[in-house]
Amino acid sequence: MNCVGQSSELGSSLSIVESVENVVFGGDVRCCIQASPPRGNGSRNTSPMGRVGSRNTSPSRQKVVKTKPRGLDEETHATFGKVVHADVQMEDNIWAMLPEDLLHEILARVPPFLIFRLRSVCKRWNLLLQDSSFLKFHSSVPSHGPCVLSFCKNSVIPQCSVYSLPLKTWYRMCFTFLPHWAIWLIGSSGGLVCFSGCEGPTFYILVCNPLTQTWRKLPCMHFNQQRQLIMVVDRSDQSFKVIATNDICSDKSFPTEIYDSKEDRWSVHQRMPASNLCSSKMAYCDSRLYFETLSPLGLMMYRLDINCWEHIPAKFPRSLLDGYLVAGTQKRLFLVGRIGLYSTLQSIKIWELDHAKILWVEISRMPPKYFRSLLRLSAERFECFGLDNLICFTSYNQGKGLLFDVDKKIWSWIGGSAFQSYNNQACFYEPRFDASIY
Amino acid sequence: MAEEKSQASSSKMLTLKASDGVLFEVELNIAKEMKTVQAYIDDCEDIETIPIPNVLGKHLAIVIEYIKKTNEEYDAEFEKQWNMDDLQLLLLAANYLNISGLQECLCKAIAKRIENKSPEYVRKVFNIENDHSPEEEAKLRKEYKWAFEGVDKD
Repeated sequence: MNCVGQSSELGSSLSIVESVENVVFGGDVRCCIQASPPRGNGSRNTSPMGRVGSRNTSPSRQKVVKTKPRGLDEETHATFGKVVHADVQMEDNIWAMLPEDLLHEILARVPPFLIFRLRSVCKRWNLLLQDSSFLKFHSSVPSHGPCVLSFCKNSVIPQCSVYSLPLKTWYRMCFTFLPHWAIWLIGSSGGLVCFSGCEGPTFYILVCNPLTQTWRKLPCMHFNQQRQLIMVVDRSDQSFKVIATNDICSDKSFPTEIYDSKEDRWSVHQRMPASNLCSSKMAYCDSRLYFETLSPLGLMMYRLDINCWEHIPAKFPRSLLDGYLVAGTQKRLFLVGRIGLYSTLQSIKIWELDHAKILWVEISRMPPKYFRSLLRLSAERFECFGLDNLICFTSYNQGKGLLFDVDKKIWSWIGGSAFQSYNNQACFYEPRFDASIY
Repeated sequence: MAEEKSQASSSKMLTLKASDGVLFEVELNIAKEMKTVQAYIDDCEDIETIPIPNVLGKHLAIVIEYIKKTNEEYDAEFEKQWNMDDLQLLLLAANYLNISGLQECLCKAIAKRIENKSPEYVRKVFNIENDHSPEEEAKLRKEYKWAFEGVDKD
């Protein structure tokens, strides 16, 4: 029996309340502790000797009282009445008697990034991330919240930072565990991050969990080229899929391929009915992959349930050259794009797809002051990505990040400038210890 | 609503007896929020006084008040009044009495109070001895040095 704390003879150092009949000392120390605020004897926890002497002999002491602490099986008895003797080492601090599962429940609520610090508290805590009880709680508490992952692979060493929105802090997480060939950030979902690159002549895709520093190369596709990719995790199922559409370099149309982690293989499906030029803008929501085509500007949708492509005849806003597709929560799909590129009335607007009417409806426009601040030169490139109903803009040359909350209609800057200029790739990321690469 | 709990209940009252002998008369439906008490009642229907041997009167009072008043607003302010020792004892009480809402609220609160602290501070709070060798500790700190930036001052 291990317990967080100094003494492993915890059982013998407790004072057992007299009226308790069933007490369990097992893997979880469900102690019935009699502790009270100091009564003038100076220490934070009064010594049991002191307590025993001064306690009320209530009538219930003589009765057999069933107390049934939670989860307790009535058969398990322990010899109670292990009265402490004055010379036994006594915990000075009542915290040491905290049952392990309660400790895990507390620690599961500490933001994932900060858990790493706590690993150096003691050997026991260092093994926390391998402890199934801790992981179980971690899986069931609400997610930490959205973070922005910024990846930049300049020469050999990847520079990676993660901005935690809830904590408003940048963490320079270490990504050196990745193989050197992983240079393109594909995206992130459910705590996993997907990268791709070429090792020699061969194109590879990998998935990783940055928190556990684990990674795995996926099997090659049937048509193994650098293709437009998207990864989606299904947490309820503990699985993930990677969807590959068109060739990036040549805009050739390949059969759509889908990798399913449950089967660890790619399946080949319908080729996207090709338009002339395809953009690289894709978004996934509600089991549908949306793909923006250029020339003409249009919308294609791939339905995973029936494995086929459909054209969505939604008319795109006039004077929009191209836009980003961003998935929101549930079925929401947003289009983000710049209007009036060469005019003085240039701005960035956001539309939402009305699925019923098959229409793009304008829902917001970036206020001019943010626009001017984000894009110093009016024709400058920007990147755009989303998570739930948050949309993030990063400016290509300036290393700035701007957030828009679609529901609250609030614009805000991401503090600090960990977005390296140009070469920078970014996406939303949700840190999870329990996201498995398998 | 939380307040309605007491009005709409049956008039049956129950007595809870804390470890230091303090007695609390509560409505049945309040007491039933403590699953441990509920189980007790299920077993011995006629009981009128239930001993709560692990919880002091001071903390039982706080727990009962929590049950009566709990809502989002109350929970947000609730934990601010207590120091770490009280939080721990309240957590043990909530755990023993099996009140999941209170337990969650307290776990969240304690996590918040330690999350940005240094390992030294956390060791003091939990009274844990550092059994890492200096080399091991240095290695861990180096491995995760990015996580050690921005720590609260103790």
